[in-house]
Amino acid sequence: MNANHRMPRDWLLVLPLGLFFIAFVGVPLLLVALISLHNDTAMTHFGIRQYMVFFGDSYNRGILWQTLWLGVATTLVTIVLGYPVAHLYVVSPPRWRRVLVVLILLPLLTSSVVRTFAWVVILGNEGLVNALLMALGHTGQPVKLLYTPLAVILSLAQIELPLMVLPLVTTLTSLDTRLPEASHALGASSWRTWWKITVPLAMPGLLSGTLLVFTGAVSAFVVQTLVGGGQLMYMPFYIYEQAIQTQNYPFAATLAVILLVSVLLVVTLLNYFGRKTRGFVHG
Amino acid sequence: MSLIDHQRRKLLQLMGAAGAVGLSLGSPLAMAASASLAATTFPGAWEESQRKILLPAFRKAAGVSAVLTASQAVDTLTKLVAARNNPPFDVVMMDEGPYLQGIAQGVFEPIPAARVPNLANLPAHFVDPKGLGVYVSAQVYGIAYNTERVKTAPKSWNDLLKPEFKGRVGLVSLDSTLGTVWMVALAKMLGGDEDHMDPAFDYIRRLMPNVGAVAANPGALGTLFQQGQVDIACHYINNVESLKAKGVPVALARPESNWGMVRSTMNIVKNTQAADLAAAYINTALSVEVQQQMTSAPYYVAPTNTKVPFGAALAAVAHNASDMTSFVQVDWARINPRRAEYIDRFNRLVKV
Amino acid sequence: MAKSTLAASGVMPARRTQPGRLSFTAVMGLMGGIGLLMLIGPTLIVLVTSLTSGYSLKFPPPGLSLRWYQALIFDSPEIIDDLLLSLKLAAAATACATVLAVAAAVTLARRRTFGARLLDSFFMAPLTIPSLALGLGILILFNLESAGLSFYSLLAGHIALCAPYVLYTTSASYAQLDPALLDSSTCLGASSWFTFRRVVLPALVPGIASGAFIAFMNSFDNVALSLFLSDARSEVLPIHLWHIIEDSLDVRAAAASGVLIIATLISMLLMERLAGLSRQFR
Repeated sequence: MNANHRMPRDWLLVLPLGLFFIAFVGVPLLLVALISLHNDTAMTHFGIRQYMVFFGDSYNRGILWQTLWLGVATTLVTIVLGYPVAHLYVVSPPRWRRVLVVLILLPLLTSSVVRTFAWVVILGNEGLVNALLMALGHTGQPVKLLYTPLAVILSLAQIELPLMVLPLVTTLTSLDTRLPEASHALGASSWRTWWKITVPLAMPGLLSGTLLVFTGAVSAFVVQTLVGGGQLMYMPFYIYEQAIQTQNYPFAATLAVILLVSVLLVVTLLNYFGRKTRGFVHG
Repeated sequence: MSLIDHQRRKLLQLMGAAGAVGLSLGSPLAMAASASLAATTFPGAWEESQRKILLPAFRKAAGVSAVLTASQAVDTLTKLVAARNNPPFDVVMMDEGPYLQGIAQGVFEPIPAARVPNLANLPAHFVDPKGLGVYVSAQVYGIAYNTERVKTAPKSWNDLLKPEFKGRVGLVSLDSTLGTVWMVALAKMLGGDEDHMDPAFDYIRRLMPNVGAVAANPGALGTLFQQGQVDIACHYINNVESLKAKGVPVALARPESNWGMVRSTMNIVKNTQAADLAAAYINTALSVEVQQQMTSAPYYVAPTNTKVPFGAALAAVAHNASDMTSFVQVDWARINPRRAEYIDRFNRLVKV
Repeated sequence: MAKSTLAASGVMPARRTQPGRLSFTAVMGLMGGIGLLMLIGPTLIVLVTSLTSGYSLKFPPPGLSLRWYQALIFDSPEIIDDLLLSLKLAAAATACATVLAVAAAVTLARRRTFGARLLDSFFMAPLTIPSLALGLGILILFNLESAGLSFYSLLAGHIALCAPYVLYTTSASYAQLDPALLDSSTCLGASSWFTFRRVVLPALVPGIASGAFIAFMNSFDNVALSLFLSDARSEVLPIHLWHIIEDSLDVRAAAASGVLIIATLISMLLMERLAGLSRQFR
């Protein structure tokens, strides 16, 4: 009886946010899709010419490919480095856990421009890595590290690392420790236990982290531009350049839609696998 | 609830209240910004010099402070065109190319001669006949190189193609005036001109193995020198001298094909709310005091006010304005229509 | 306790004799160490660089001095202005987003209907959608309305950005609320509003505060939205810092970064103390 009275009034509470989001998220995205369907910059004809132009040009396809590949490479690096950090957290006593939490959260909350700046200092010709290399006598001239794809991947990986570590920590701490123990009791080695038992159980966290890191890396405008330099072009800067510098809104909107769709495809894929792997936990 | 939870709640409530107060303060402060003058400048040495010299002089003359935004001429123009009825700036700095485009697009207002007495001190051809803009300076560009790492001074643009400069040449995007005028200078050196730019693109293609980095604007190019990422590039004299003043071992050499020259203008934006302040700003920029300081170390900006002599430092390059007419210049009317095409072509060439 | 009993009774091999244990621990330890170094190293390097006495970003710095902090505080009114603008914007966006999101969270939490889940995904969208696409869309919207860009166009985008964080943490907090509390409150005769105000809201406050804090930091840090939506008169701090780094390599950028790092650290520790920030992630 109370439930019926409460229902309409409760949905009223959702209305403000709902209306706001429709106005400032839903409508803008629809507008972007709509604008992309114009054939010319002056926006007089409808058509899919912008999409044809994009996919028909190897330069454009290359930029999309490079951006997606950046996402994949960054994700792989964060998995390789992030899992051990999460593991360390799980096996640490509570006092150390507090310290680790600060170490993991601080980069996440620090401004991305600041963190990117750090990498400019580390990878520059006068920076840390080159200073080390020259001190060790490896090379007389500084090695060009900045403004290369590797530099972008490394700096992005560091910036997105907390987003991989935190979901893994959540999953690993809620792991039923009796399962790996049983595996050990039955004689399996640490590696086998890890690969056959722990990793499948950690899948939900892994997939969650992959989703966050991939979407973050693909849209990381600041890092791509500051560390990538003028010779590396990725989708985010391409969108900005076409919209703000060239004022070609239909093409910019097309780029935005293509980026959006690519990201959503990957998200859907990951969510699909996420649902399947939950079966590992509950059988 | 325990005492600690209670205190915690109170503190969070306090923070929430502080946030609400902050929000209410926000709106009036956001409005107050429009009481000053919004001006643009170019990134790098221009921004530096104008903050140091022009802004204080303007403040003294008009009693109001100016908010300076660094923005390349092309970007500024697109912002003006995008928001015609409510322009984000009151007075802008333009390079010749975008300046002509701006006149064609009708985004400038005539400068009231009555409020800008210094206009009288400029040669006639430095002031637009309809008063839509005025040249405030001329800049010189040449071959900038790191004196510590490049032992013999380069003599020609072709020197950049030498194998010893592998990975050490700096480029700047064609979005900037510097990039564009350099391409025209290259084309002219190789037998082309503003309508026949293929020789210049061919040169860039041959230069690619030597390119170390591509900067977004001249300021960023200076940064590349500062960080040792590039050792040789085409660059403006005022940026190079500014770097020298910071202790970077860089010098400017005269190419065989001659120095190049670029002029910059100031314009009042149409529909601005602060036309009088804008006129005062331009007047200050044209004044003897400001131009005198701009022409001396470390900026070496060539003055347009006839009452200001070319300083000793500039004398290495030119003695007066008529000397500079022989420098490589660009016919922007021929470049402007195809500029977007050149920018795209350049991007495709340099992208890794 | 179960572990040691099992080991003592000889059923389970003692930890030390497990095959592969040494190599596993070594590899995990090494990689974990590298990971932690990568997490914290860059931040430390920025702090050290900000204390350089020279003009460039050489590392290690030629000497140490506080001159760039002095230059930042006394000689950089435009940077201070941008800092204030960013703070104002983040505070306003977070405040509005919190009000909107908390209202939505208490309604949507615990409902598993299709409608509720759809709305939930919709409200979480700004987290996955590249904020560039959102910024472009809102820019087009404002241009079509001939509204022009201003503080409010920027604010609109940032509220959309902040809302998901508050929604997420508030929902999580609400989900942990014991329904028995609500029922007993109603049974004792309290109205829904009274229950909400005196029982639900106080319990939600840590969750709301954590979400608001994260939202604030994200809004302060956001570049993509601000690039498209700010009105060119005023620059938010991250964008100004970016221009300084790219265009003039002024070491004041390092000093500003140092200030931001210390401020973030302090506020983070504060939030951990007051609202148990890290609990949101564990």
